[in-house]
Amino acid sequence: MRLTLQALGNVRQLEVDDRAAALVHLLSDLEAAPTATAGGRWHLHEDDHGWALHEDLALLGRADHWMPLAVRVLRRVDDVALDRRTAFVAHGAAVRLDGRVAIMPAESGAGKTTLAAACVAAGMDYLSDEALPFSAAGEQLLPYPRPLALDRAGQQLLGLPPPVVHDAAEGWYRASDLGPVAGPTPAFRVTDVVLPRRRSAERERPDVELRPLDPAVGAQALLRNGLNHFHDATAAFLTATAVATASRVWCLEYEDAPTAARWLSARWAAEGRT
Amino acid sequence: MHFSPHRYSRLQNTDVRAVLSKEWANEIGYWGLTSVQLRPAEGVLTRTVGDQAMLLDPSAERALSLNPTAAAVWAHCQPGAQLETVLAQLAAAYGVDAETIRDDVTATIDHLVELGFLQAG
Repeated sequence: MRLTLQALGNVRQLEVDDRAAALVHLLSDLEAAPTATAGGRWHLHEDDHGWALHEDLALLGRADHWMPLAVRVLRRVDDVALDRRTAFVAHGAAVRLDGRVAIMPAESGAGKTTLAAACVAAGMDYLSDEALPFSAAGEQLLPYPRPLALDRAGQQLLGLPPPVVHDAAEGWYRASDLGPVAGPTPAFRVTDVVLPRRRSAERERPDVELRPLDPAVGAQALLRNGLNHFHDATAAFLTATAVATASRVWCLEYEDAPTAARWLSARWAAEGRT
Repeated sequence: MHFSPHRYSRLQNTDVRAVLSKEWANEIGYWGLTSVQLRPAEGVLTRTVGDQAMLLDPSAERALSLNPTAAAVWAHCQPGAQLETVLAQLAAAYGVDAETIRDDVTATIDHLVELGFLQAG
């Protein structure tokens, strides 16, 4: 099986043995336009020595089963997308509902992926997870609909079937198997910066609260979660401050992600109608 | 924490409002308060974001987020400004006595100088 995929402008061809077709399925939200020319190739196949993963002519790894090598490809896609990117990239997730484009910068373990997946399951368009890549001119968000990596707790919370591709910690899901994925729009203007904050249930407090914050808090969150600000710190600073200034910044406090996502979706849909 | 060539390094934003330093106040006193001229360090980037001011230092290694009060201090530290002038302007703006805010303003200026965003001399 073959797939030509595009990760933030970097085009690669993926060729896998049919037994590893799940990997092609997972990455198909990143399928490149038919006219795109691949700048490299991954080949996952079995030979006399077991399963092998090649990147062009280089051997990236061997294993007894295709699964660990598929996970290697999934991580390599992020490397290809982000490694040479000098425009600002922050750690976070992004979703869209009607004209609203919300980014959720967050540190690892904050529950951002579970919340993003819940938002998609609640009908929001998926734009990106893990990376929030901004355009070189700044301020506009580039979609990067990579597969969502959820830990077991997140999978159970969202009621998902066991993942076909997984490692000990996480399982991968194609976003378009969970809900809608934004179409091939080149870039989006961010309207909302949402800082997610999970909390335990508290009597006399609503399940979900959305509190407005000073935009500076949003800029700080973007900078704190910068993935590549060392490439061009000035551009990172200008992008983070411009995005936060042009957006509404919120703290989303919630007990569980599916409830928060449904609440947010209903609220934003109602605001969109008015 | 500073910008550093590590993929997952984080940028710390320091809020200066709570920082007090008597040493700097004493030092200014020794030199003579009225003779110290203040100016933003060359190359400092400033952006107003909401109610706050965000600064990036000239080497692009440290970003600072100033709360509204500290942002007002920063805004009055234009080239050639003197501490007494800044105090008088802020006192007038906030409708308070200059002595009431002297310690906080001095401490804010001290910290901005320490971090290299402001130059005094």
